[in-house]
Amino acid sequence: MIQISDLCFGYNLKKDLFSNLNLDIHPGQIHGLLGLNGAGKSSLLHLIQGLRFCDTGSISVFGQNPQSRSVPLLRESFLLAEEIYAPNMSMKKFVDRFAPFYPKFSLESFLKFLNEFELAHNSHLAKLSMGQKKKALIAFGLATNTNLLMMDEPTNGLDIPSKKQFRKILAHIINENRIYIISTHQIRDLHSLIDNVIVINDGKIIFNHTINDICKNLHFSLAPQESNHSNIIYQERVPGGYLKIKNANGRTSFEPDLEVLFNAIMTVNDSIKHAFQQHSNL
Amino acid sequence: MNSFLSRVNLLILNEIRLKSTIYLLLVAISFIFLVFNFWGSDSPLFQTLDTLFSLQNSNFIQQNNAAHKFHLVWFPRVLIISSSIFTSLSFTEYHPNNIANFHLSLPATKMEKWVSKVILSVIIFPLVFVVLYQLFALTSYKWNTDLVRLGISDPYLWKYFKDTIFLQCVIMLAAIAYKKYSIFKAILALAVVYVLYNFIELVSFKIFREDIAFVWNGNIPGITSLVDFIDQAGYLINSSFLESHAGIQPNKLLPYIALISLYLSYLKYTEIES
Repeated sequence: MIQISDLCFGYNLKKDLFSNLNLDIHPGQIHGLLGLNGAGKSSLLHLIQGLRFCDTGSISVFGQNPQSRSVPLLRESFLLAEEIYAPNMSMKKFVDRFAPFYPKFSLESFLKFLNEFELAHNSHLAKLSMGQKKKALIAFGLATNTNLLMMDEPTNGLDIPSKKQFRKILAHIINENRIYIISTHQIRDLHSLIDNVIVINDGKIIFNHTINDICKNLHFSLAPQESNHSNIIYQERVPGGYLKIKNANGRTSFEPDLEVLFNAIMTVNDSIKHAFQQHSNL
Repeated sequence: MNSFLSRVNLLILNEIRLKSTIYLLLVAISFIFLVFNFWGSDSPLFQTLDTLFSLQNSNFIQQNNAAHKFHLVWFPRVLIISSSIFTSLSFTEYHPNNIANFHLSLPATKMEKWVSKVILSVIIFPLVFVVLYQLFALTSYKWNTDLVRLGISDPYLWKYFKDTIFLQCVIMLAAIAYKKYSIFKAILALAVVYVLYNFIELVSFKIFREDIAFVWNGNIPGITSLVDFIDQAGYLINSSFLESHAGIQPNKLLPYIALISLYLSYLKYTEIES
């Protein structure tokens, strides 16, 4: 479990990126970390990994302070950064050199993931395209079998079949002990995968709900026309008409559109909050 | 992979493999320079370098032959310069963020990562350089027995080695503290320490050794005369050493500066963020 309490952090003294940010992240789920550019998604991942140090407040990852960068903790966490590191060596050598640091690394899984991504084990990392490098590093990260896996924009640069493969692999390897956090702009690539939606804005977590909760509290429907009805929280033009978000009032949506939800949170967050509060008061 | 030593060992091997190109290039350039110096010390290039480093006027060099100059002057200088360049590149992987993220996240303690850097830059590189020099000196000695060389048991050789190690500790601190031009900043910092040290010694001698005369009229010196003034102090302290030894300028403070630098470099390393 990850517990973040009253976290304050900034890159300069004048303005805090995070001010008193609180967040609990539970295992057994794939968490989607969403936010506008510069909202601090990558910085939050870096803080959880211990690559950045918080100014005040505390972060606890599996009961340990990530700032210590202790071996037991680092063995259980892997961060796949947006700008990946692909040294000038073959994938085989890369694994030989770095896999021994991760005791739960599975060469069998790594080869299986490479195969699914249609990459050869002896490919030279520096000679691969950006998307292929990313796939190689995703395969390595997944094969480390760490209990915490964080990925910053993992689908950037991946082609459509690779995105599909990525979703398929991730859906199969999540278990009740693991925490996967995926920071992304491309919500549509991963909407079917995410169990919990976390939205960060203005240095705070403004939304943190599971897909189940979202389905219980909000109703998503597609209509051909725009409507001014008072029960509509938010509506947005999408291909095929207008996607409307309403208070669920007992109805259940089967597949919320996370991109439209994100836009709604950024536009009418108070109304969204109100819908969730109404349901919890019932 | 459960012990300190096994992780340090793997980190050193990884570092050698990742930096093998720069490692080999530095050693190769240094030895090409030394070999050219060995056979072409009369060439205009080396004559100019000798003039630049004031070796032409050195009593030591004038009294001895070119081989002395090669083994006692150029070898230690090339050893120090190449080791310093290598050490200054120790933390290059911590500057681009994507590489830093990966290395900082590797499951090894901060101490293990730092120790692996120190062993490689401060000990292994100079040691490999000395071993290669020994091979070269041994070969050249077999061709011409008139030449002198620094044998494996020669105290000068190990003095050069020791001074190189001390200097690498300072460069190590600069390498971790500065992202750019760390080697130049380290040299500048050492120069400031050296000047201050000589100045303090000059003042101490002025107070405690009245038998040593200084040519100073009591006026505040200008920049040129200030340098002369401070040099004079260094010369007085080190003159006996310089007469017998033209290689490395001795500095009594260097071991202490090295230890402090090493400790500070560890503290600085623990604070590295991506």
